[in-house]
Amino acid sequence: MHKKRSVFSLCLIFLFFTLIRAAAADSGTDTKRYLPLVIHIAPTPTPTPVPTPTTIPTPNPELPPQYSTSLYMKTVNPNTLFSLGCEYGEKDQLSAGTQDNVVFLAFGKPTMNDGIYGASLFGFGPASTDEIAEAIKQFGAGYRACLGDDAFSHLRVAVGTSNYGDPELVSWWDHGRKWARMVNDINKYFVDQGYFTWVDAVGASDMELAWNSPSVTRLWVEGYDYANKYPLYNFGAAEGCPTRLAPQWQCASPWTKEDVWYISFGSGASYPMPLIYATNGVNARQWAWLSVYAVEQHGAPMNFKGAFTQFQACQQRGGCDLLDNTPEQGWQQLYDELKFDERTKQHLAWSTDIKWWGE
Amino acid sequence: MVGGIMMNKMPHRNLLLVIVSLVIVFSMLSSQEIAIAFQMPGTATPAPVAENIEALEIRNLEQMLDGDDLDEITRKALEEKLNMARTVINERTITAASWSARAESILPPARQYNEKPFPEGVFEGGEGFISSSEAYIHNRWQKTIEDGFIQVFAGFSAKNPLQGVLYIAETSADRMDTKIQAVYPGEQDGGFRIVEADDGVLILESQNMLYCFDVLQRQFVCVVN
Repeated sequence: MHKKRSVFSLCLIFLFFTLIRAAAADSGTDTKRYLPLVIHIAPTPTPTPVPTPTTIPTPNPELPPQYSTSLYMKTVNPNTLFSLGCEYGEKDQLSAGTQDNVVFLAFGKPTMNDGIYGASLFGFGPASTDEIAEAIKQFGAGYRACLGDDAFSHLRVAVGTSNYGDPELVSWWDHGRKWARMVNDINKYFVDQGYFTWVDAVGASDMELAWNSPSVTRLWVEGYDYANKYPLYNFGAAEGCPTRLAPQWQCASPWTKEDVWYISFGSGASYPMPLIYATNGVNARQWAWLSVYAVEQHGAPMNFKGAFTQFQACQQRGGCDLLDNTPEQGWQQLYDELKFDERTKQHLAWSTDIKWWGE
Repeated sequence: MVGGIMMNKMPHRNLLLVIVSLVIVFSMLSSQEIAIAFQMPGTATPAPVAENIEALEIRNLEQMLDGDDLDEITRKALEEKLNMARTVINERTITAASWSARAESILPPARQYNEKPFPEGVFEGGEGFISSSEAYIHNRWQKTIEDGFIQVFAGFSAKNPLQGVLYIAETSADRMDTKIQAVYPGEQDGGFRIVEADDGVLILESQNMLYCFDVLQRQFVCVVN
């Protein structure tokens, strides 16, 4: 009888131990294990890495990730941004499993007024880099505050401007440098406040070939790269650039493939998370072909962070005939095109879709 | 008698066995695992999924750097990207280890914020307010109105450079709602540019003509060849 009890006790203990270890098993890495916060285990399978010389290995078939909503901003009101961050935090907390997203907050074109650098807020500004930094800090605080006891979800905030503007009116190199310092400052705040595990910031720019020259855009990227500690995401399109179906096309003059590659990946700071809006898939083909160019001319493909679409903005304002890919379509188009050439095939971690704040 | 003593000692023996086993189990777990399991306040809580994304990025970059075909500029760029990814993981670890604030203690800013006055007048460019896939904007006029703001963007259609177009955007005072209306002239004479604004009437020029546009009426009130 007592022997049975002893055996039963031992069994219970080992069951407890086994449960702890099993529940703590993470999604594929062999480095860390966590105790039974089972509700926070990632809902989607993490790709199992298989060594290849170039890209992240991909599970087959890979499905589009849950998309995030990015925003064109017309305000830097810290109270508004705190509430906005809180909305994202609440959403992640209430969503099943661990969330990991990127959200772009776009503040308009670069500005320089009386030596103060900033962004235009699409005609409602300008807002200085200090004001934008404060807004993003509050956004991050709001996110963390409303994430509550969700210990594992994570949000990356891409603080966006663009290459739109007069080449003469802004000191582009210096503006890029200031933007990088602003991102450094935001992240220092997140580290100091203890938020960095859940929220961090990177720089971002909607670099459109029609909006400025390659020389001006490169200057801005070089300025950013001079001072940055954190990456820069390009969320522009590659207008006119060739594709596997139209290799004779030329990027919108005076841009070259080399210019687009440099601002998107060739600079040490840059990563592409390009706008894939055309429903006929041409944006995806252009970026995939640029990645083939990168392999052939520079020896490595471009690492894409994901796909960027404008479906919700099109729903708000209309006028996007055949340019309104859903986030799933945009991600799938880019993924499939990159897969077309074994050398550029890769995992795409993120998907985001932009709309106008408040509308 | 002996049997009775044995009967009393057995539960103690079981208890001892349980305690010893628990000590063994917990000694095999890290302090972090124990802390997380019991939701201890102020416990460092890492983010495994995000860390996986950065870890995959690091592994990917390391593999790319092993490539023999890399040119010098790419190698330098990849090394910088690798350093950035490592910085993020390091700072995340530092934050997780030192974090003591509770989410409920994070409060919104206490001070009131007053928006800056809305810039008024004629300005170059369209600020990206209108998608470049839709139109190329030369310039815009904007003004505060009674219940918000109005902007008029002048340019030409992205699909047809001969087709001039105006976009009138009316935004609410809280900046949260914008309604946009496109207005096209009857003629195709190239893109519009605002040359003058006078009391709600804009003077526009195209390639060969001048137009007067009444913003409130949303219509052209004169055309001069």
